[in-house]
Amino acid sequence: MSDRAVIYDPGFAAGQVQAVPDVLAGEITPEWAWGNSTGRGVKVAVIDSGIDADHPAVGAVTGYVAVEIGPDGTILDTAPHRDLFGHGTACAGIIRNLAPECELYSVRVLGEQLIGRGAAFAAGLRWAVEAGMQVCNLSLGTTRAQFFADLQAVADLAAFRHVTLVAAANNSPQPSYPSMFASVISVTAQDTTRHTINPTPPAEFGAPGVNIRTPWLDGGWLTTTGNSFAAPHISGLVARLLERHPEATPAQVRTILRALAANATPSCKVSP
Amino acid sequence: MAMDHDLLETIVDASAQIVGATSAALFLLDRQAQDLAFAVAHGPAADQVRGRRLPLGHGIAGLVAQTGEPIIVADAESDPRHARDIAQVSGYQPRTLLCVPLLTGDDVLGVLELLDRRDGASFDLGDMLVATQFARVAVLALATAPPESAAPADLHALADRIAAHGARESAACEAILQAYLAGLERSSR
Repeated sequence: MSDRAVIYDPGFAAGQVQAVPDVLAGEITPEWAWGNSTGRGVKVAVIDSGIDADHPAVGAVTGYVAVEIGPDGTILDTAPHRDLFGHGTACAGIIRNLAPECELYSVRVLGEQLIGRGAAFAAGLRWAVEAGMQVCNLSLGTTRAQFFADLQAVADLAAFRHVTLVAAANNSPQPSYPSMFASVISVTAQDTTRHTINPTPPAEFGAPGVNIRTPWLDGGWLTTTGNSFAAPHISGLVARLLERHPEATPAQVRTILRALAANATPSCKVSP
Repeated sequence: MAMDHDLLETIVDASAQIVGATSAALFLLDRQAQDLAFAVAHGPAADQVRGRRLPLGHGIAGLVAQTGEPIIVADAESDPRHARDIAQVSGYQPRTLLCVPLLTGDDVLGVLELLDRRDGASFDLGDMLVATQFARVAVLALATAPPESAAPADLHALADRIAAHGARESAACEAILQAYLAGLERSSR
């Protein structure tokens, strides 16, 4: 069956935020979770079109991998590269703004027209997980079912190795991978200043993603909207959280994010 | 590509009405030529752009066709993705844009582009969802829509989106009805 047979409606992007009871809401505080942390030393991979390290809003990129699928298999080029479109720089800038001392890694799997091969995407994600990244920002996905298994295998590996995967949900109402996987934190854009929790996933969190001013190619800026620019907001928060709590597993990260969502409310207590 | 052109006209017109766009256009992808052709255009520059072609990957519409991802542009003038050459040809420089793909399976058939909300605001996520649903209905108006296409579900979703948007305009309802009937007729062949 084609995955397109499913009508996927995130139902969460157009201001349909409602209060969500959460057992830990009010118990976990932002001060405890991330306080004034800056993401110092936390390894964050941006799997995208590259990162422009010369942009003043992005700054140093600690490592690079450009992934190509050649006739003899996967090619991983670790030489410094540029951003081929601007999209990765935008995501990196959002993360850097929230977690200014995190270590950014550029994993380039998209080309000049913001498209890439599914096999390169899966290989880039696998590289990031195996290289010890702590957070992977995935403002991309595929709707093609033939990559489901490879991406699911890497997502499982990430969960077992305590690597938090943050993925943008598809902007179109149809499922895309890996954002649909239960182990992956899926994010949609909202016109908000704080992240929110969706009581009916697969789109699990909402985050600021409307008219976001982001760095772009050649030192420029772009004001833009979309799930791609909401996911890095969550990635930045996770980087800050992991500086404070480096042993937190992806499941614990998700629990903390949920408790701190703007619409999370203390779950009902028994009245006296 | 065979299509119900009148129905496409109605759908494009209705989508512009519902989201409050000044102009709207529907492009169809020519995979062999690797470009997009204007199929339907409404608005001040419709006559100038009708029949023109746009390279795949070029400008917002070309990029949406290339990636299959919708795009909202809040300020076209400062957006490096915007194709100024098209605006120069048409003599119409949009300020804000919303562009969504026409998808069937994993294939992009074309794009629906809406320009300049009449209230001067940028298009928002609600507009994007409405436009996306209109795009799904537009796919039904193309003869390439597969028989298993989920027409009733698409139409229900569109009706819900329109209702959520706070408007029920007659043209939109007419478009929905026509698309529904066309989809049924096609499925029964």
